[in-house]
Amino acid sequence: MKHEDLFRAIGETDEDLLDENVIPARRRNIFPIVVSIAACIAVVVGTVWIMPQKIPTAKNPEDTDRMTIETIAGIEEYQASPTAMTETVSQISTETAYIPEIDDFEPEQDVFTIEDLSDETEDVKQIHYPEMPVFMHGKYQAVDESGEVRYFWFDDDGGRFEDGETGMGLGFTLEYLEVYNEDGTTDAIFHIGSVDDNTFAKIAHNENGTLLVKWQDGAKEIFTYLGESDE
Amino acid sequence: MQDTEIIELYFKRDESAIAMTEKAYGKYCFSIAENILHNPQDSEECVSDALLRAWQSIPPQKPTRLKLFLAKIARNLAFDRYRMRHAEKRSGDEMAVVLDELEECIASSEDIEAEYEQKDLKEIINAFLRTLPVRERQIFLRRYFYAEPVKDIANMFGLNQNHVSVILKRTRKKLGEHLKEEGYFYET
Repeated sequence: MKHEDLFRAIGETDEDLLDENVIPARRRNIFPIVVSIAACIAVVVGTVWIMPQKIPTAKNPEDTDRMTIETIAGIEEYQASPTAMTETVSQISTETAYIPEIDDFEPEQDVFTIEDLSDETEDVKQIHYPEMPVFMHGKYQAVDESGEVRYFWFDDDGGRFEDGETGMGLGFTLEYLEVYNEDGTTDAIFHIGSVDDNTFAKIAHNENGTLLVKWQDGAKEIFTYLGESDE
Repeated sequence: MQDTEIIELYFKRDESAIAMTEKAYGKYCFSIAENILHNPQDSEECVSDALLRAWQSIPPQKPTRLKLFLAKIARNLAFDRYRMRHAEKRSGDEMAVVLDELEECIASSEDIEAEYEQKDLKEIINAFLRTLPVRERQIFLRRYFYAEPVKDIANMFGLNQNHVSVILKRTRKKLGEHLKEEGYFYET
């Protein structure tokens, strides 16, 4: 046998091996996060309604949105994330607070304002929940700073990408980390080609509806959604 | 246009199938051929030949993945052309390096081969590939199916070139051992 025979034989590799998008699903679904946030809010609101007599004197005693921060701190027991909320709550400690917008709180998009009533200066602490930047199912065009184009297809757990010029590409799975960064980005890990690969990225919304992905090596790509096409 | 729609055109003997295929996978096939030939004109001709071959093959064949079906055709045609161009001597291009690397997998021996030659090399290689961890398998196929430069593979996987070279070397060694176990030896 010659090396050329070997090269030809490799050319007959089974298609499932050539085409494998690998990888067991590892992405954390954001649905439970949203549900957990909603559940926490429900607990908070419920606590306010059920135990108003336990609420210490506050500047707005007639307001049903009042609560102690001890109640809010309980949120930590119900959700481990997003990190921003947990951190802010721990800063507030056990003071009495007033949450003006709690009835209208929309975890996907609202600014959740906590007013610390025990503080004479009435510091307002804000926990901001931006709409989590995630990829929709379908095809995206990704353009980097030099104008190089790649195409990405996303499904439930990841997807695949191809070089815009050569058509070469790889499969990947995508794991969203449950982190809202101060700059509005969400951390994610792309497992490109293998579960062993960990390519970190920060994903952010752009005002024009595109997504900005900052890769761990400093490269940036703008992702524009092209639709649900498979091709 | 979806693969199934394009293949339907082939089955209807509608020549627009070729244009649709070229539009969808022409660049992909070109890049495969170009990795082997490093000659854009030859690579373009390979793509044209691959499209013609697809036209001749479908039907009766009905590929499940048109892209990979074309990839194999383009690769084979490009390699035929490469061999024709380099019949007399092996040049120092990337493809020559790929072949040199594969040569390491084949142990030298003068005998025994006949005993095993009936074994299907394709099946043996597929079985071997299935034993590899996914990343090693994909890196191996990037190099020895698509004949991609180590540098490009390293970029794609976020590894440095040395790391990729080490992975390839280990995989070649494993393949060599596997082939030896299966009775494949190098012609002397």
